[in-house]
Amino acid sequence: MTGFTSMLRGLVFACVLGLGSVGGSAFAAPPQPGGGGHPRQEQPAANRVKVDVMVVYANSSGKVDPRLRELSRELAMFQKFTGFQVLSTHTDTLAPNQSTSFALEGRRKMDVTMLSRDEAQARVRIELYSPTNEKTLDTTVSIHRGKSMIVGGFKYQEGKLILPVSVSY
Amino acid sequence: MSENLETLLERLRGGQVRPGDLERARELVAADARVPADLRAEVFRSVDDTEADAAGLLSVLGHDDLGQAIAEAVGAEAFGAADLVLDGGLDDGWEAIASVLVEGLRAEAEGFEVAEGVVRRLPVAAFAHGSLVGDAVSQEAGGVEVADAVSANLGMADGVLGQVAAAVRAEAGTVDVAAAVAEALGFAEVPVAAAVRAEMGRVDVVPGVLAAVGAWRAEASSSDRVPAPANAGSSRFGFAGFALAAAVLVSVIVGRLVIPVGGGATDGLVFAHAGEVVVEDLQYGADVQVIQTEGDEGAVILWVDEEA
Repeated sequence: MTGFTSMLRGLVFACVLGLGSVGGSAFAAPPQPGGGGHPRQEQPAANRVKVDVMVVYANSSGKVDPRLRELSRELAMFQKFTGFQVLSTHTDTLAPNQSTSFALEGRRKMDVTMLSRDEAQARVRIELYSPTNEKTLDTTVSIHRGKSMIVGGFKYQEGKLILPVSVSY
Repeated sequence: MSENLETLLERLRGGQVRPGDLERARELVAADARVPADLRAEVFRSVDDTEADAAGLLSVLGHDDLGQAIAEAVGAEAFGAADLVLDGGLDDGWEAIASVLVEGLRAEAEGFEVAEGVVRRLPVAAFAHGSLVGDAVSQEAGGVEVADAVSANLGMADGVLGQVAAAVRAEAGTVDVAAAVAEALGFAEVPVAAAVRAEMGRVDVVPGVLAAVGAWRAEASSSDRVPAPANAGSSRFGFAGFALAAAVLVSVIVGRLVIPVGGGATDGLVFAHAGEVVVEDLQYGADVQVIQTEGDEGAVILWVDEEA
């Protein structure tokens, strides 16, 4: 066996050993608090809640993102919405009484505060602001763990913005 | 000849706007005591709102009925169709039992009193014992099955029992007892849909596949001894193999660097149904309306109407 072959064999073994750590979150873009970015992969620590917000554009295009088929079925009552498109996703992990802010399309803003959680559900406060920075909605809800609630109806281009809010831990 | 306010408004509502009409309309509105003071300064400020302002003022002045127009607008906005029917009248024959039905349906079939209404609608000549049946059913909280036993004890003909059953069906219609049953069983809702969804997620076929492959391999190993590879000891092929393996591993590593692994908010939305979401507090701006409703498959929705 030549020296080059031995070196190449060593490279292969090194890649195998390092594959687990290299492919992990160290190289994934960390989520920006209050902004977009890819979701974290690590599980939230004790008493923390991971909040995911998806910004969906409901319109009459007739095109439904495959990820939104369930949402389109829920909103079938709004017959004029034949198209659903994901504009952005936002995520953050919050400790009790910790807040985060997401900048949404249409110059809107959403603030989420995690108030508390127990085994079954998380209490969160959701505040939505209009393009003129006026508070449009302020609600405190308890959502079952792993479930999503729909907040929607905000004017955007030729349709509406729909915001599924999910909590997980 | 100068036209009065109503005539001018009707023309503007029809889209017939002439030069000077808006100014004339503002003058007439400002001088008309029938128009609320806070409205006089708001109308006809924008050409785009002319028709809408004219229609609204005609309604304020009592010269138009916007009921159907509003219904059409609401129907078009909420349901995409302008065929919203506003008909709150009762058919004749229903009035006698209307209150009975409403009360009974609201109680979700518990204590639903049908006896009185049912008995009233049966032919008197063929139902001589109607009052007895009605009292018996009333005492048994309106259970239809009790009517059969009572009727049997009274020796009533099958024809009458058939009439009772048909009358009960006609009056009670379809009563949803699922919610009451689920509540009695201790479920906030019957979690069938959630359970099915949880179970249908991923189907693991690996054990089955491996089991089949293992059986095949066991059969294959019982065959003749596999001869030694013909290329054993060739350094040229060994080098190519290592190079290929290294290239594959590098491509996998690079791929994982640029492609985020794992799911996020876009994967697997599972919507909370009533009972899984509690709106503890709700406040909203003065220029919006918010309604809490359920989607077509039960998801809880907070819908904000910014055009209210």
